Amino acid sequence: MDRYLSVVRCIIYLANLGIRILGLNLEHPILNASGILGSEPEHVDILVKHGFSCIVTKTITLEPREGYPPPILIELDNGGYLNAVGLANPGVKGICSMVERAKLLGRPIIVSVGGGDSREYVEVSIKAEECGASGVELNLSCPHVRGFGLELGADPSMVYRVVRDVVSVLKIPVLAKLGFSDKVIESSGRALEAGAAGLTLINTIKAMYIDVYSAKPVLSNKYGGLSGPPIKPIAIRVVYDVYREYGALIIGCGGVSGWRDAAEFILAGARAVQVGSGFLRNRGIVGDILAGLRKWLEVQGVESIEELVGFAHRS
Amino acid sequence: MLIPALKISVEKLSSSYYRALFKLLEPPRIEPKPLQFINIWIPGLDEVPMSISDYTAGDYTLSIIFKVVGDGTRGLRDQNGFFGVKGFLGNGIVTSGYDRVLFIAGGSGIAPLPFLSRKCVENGCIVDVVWGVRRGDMLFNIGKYAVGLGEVYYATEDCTIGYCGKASSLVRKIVERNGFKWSLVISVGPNQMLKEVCYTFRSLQNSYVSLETMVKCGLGACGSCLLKPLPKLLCLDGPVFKCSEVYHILG
Repeated sequence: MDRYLSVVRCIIYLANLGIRILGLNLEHPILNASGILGSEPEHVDILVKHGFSCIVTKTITLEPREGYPPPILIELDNGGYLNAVGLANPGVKGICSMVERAKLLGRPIIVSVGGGDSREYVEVSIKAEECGASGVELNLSCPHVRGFGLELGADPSMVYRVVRDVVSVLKIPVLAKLGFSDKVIESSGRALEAGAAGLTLINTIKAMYIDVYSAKPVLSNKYGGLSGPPIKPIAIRVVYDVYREYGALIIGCGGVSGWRDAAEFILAGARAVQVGSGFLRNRGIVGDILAGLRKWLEVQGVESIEELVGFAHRS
Repeated sequence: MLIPALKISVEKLSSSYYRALFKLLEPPRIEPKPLQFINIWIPGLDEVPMSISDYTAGDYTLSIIFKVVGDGTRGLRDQNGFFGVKGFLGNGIVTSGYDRVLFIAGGSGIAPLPFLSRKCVENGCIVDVVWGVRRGDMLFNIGKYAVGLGEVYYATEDCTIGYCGKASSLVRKIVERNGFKWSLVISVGPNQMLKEVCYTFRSLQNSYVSLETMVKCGLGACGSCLLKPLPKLLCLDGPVFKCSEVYHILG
């Protein structure tokens, strides 16, 4: 009987964390952030094995890109990470094998799409749809590759144009991933106006690390994208503001390293949460977050996590 | 975390190999294990993965043994001053519980031996060594850098020193002649050698290989070190694997 009850309880708890986004019923709200593995089918295996409910690929461009030479990633002593991978990816020819693998493993997969111009975003997105992806996430905010994102994401009219061009040719849902900029709220609005099904907020933030002994920037690209705990309060603020403004579907991203961070994003307005740096430090992070969220739901006395989305906005 | 490291010295060991000694200027968060590796940053040039050749906890000195194959390793040899150490990376191996260990190296696979034998001595075990290289002039006296070694066998493909042939053939001959007395076997070198050694020790449970592949970030993010078709990353799941885990991908 006890065993029966614990199985029932387990099912109830799983149900409690279930969330619906982009027409998908996800087992729970924890996705991987783009850039963490996600360029080979075996990477999909690894991400699924570690419990992510939906897989997000590395940003894919039309042609393969080798990316920058090392160093491409460093761990900082403030708990953050700085990366400049340079959008290394296999190009569109790598999409189908990853999508097939995710489907084989019973997980939805979102293809992160990059581009130097609107045409490239459209072509890569079309390929993702042809391969059977569940959706695309337009990376409009890569902070370390010139011409691939950040300048674009900070220009609301460009955001509108790229999102509109992609949405107009796609049946699957389109997410716009935006980075931190003065215009992130305006850009978010324009992306939604152009037909984006939702927003991923935020990307890494352009930053630099200089080694004080050799007196040189460490990353080969000198500049990189800052991720991890140092950017979380910024990401929470952006999600909060954008949710308040538009009440849109938001996937929160930036510095999630435990259940509290995930909970904070959900309260600010995110329906799902992406984990990147946190997974580098703790390969068991998905299980840890889910365990924490289940307890949190119990303490809050709510049946479904959906009830807490944007709860910090209640008057 | 990037640990600042000051280069203390570099010496030429043989026609092919160099040994560089560094002093870490900040204590690492954890002590390394044998066969773990570092990514060493050569400021302004590159970042390359290197086996920890030796490490002394008391004074934070770390050495690497390497071959010059490109700009990064040329910088390791020629550049002086400050470097950066990312690590310690990978799984490594624990030597406690073993009394006699066989270490088989092909070429620069000899690099991690000094730290392995140091830890082995601490745990009361002895390391026997088989080291194979293409030419005799590539060899150097490994006993000068590694403490507490047992029997040391050399194999050269140009037949100038020791056994004439490959390390894996020498190992097979030793085993065929005398059986084996080792409770742990570790091989580091080209995949073909690893495969042959794994086959020779197919009945031994604790037979390990340390693999090499391209490593970029070293932290499990970029996925460059994927050991296709296995869903494993060398930088986190390796570089040390049981023979049984990876035998089928060794070529």
